Amino acid sequence: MSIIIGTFITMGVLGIAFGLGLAIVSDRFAVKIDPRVEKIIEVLPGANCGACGLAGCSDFAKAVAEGRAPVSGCTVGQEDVARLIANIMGVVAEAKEKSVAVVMCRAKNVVDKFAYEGVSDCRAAALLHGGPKGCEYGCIGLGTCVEACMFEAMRMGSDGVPEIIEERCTACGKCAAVCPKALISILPISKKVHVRCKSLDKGAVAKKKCGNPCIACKLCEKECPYDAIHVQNFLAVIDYDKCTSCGKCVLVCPTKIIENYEGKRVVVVSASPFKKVKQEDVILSVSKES
Amino acid sequence: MGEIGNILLIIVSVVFVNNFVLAKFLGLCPFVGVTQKTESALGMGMAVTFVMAMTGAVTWLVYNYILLPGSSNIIGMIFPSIRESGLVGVLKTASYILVIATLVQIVELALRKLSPALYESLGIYLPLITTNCAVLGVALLNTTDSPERLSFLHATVQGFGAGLGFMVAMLLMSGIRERLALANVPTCLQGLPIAFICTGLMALAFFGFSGMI
Repeated sequence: MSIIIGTFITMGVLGIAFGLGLAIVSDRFAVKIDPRVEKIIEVLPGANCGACGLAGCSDFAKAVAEGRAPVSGCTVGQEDVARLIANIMGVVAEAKEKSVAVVMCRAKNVVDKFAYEGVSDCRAAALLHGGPKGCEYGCIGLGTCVEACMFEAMRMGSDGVPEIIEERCTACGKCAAVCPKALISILPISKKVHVRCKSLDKGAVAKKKCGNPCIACKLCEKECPYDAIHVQNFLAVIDYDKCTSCGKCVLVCPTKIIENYEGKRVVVVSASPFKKVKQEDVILSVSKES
Repeated sequence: MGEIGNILLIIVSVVFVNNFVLAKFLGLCPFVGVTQKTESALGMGMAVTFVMAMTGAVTWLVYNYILLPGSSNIIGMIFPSIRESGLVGVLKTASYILVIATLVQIVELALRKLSPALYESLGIYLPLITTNCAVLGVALLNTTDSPERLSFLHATVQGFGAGLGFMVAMLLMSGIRERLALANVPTCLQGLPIAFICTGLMALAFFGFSGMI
């Protein structure tokens, strides 16, 4: 009998002692949390993509509450989320234009220099003689950018160059960051004319490597009424501050490498899956349950 | 062998020869769950090391002054019959779980105040240490009386060493899995199956340490 009573008393005393200890510690280490941070985290998309320049959504929420980040800083949530955050913070959100990723290569009939049989990743392939493709400036085509996209806004096109599904693109910039050839640019959606080549080869050399090169003929430069396109290092480059997307250079380009996206934006295929469930997320949720 | 020699022997024994993950197969849940990236594996390893060392110390006190029969039993001062029987058989596991849960809570509170960055990066895994069976394993194995009863210092060192062993196993596994992510694994083995196969191979490798001490 005394064992049973002793057991109860022992556990009771231990419990009270540890409980008191915890109470003291939690009082000593109390952290004040801004209630707005929680509210902002709730309205954020929760993609943790880092496009805002901060380490994930909770960090961004904290930065907004402390005034270190703008309320419209979340490129993924865009205007809707900016408005919700502005409501929480009690300020007015400034309008921000939607941006999308643009792939600056349109490789056509590019011959391989060698058969690459390594890791199926553009970054790894680029380390080996700049990749297997004949044009060292162009797309390697192993789809690392498609893998990197958290929003399923990219797919490999039939020509072996990735396409952007612009309705889904949130301009987070992940694809641009992983491309070893730096072929992807994040540009405002109102800019519709792009030079889709990055080759710095002279015209004749570029023409041998690819069916769609910029041959640096300067016709676009002469045609542009706004002085917005210039040939530098054998490549036509658009100054997007001056470009009005009038499309005159598109008409004169002999290799048709300057492309007008007016009316050509890739339409959405199916309902947008907001988050792609990754394998490691599944493993994490399994281990949380076990 | 001097005292320092004994302590080194305990650490080598518990890190390599009797590694909690790879020789005793305890704590496999965080071992598989948090080894996707080296940084999180290191953070988890450090948190577990701290909790294990503290658990080793506190459970030794609980065992020797509350649970064991004899004149040192505090409860025995009130109930003389407990002085003879002790509470080892009844309360061992329950009181240890209480100690571990409290310690993990304290670690969590302290980390949130002192190092918010580490607190954020560990996230859900910090409270999950409570349910890590390796921690309970340390407490239970520390307080068996065979082959000999450990002193307070040795119990603490054994807890700390077990944590180190856990961290070593986590870091090795995360290194392997970061490479596996790039490897061409057959579809049916992708993810957890190949991780468990690697765990088995690592355990075989660690088996080579047996007989060293």
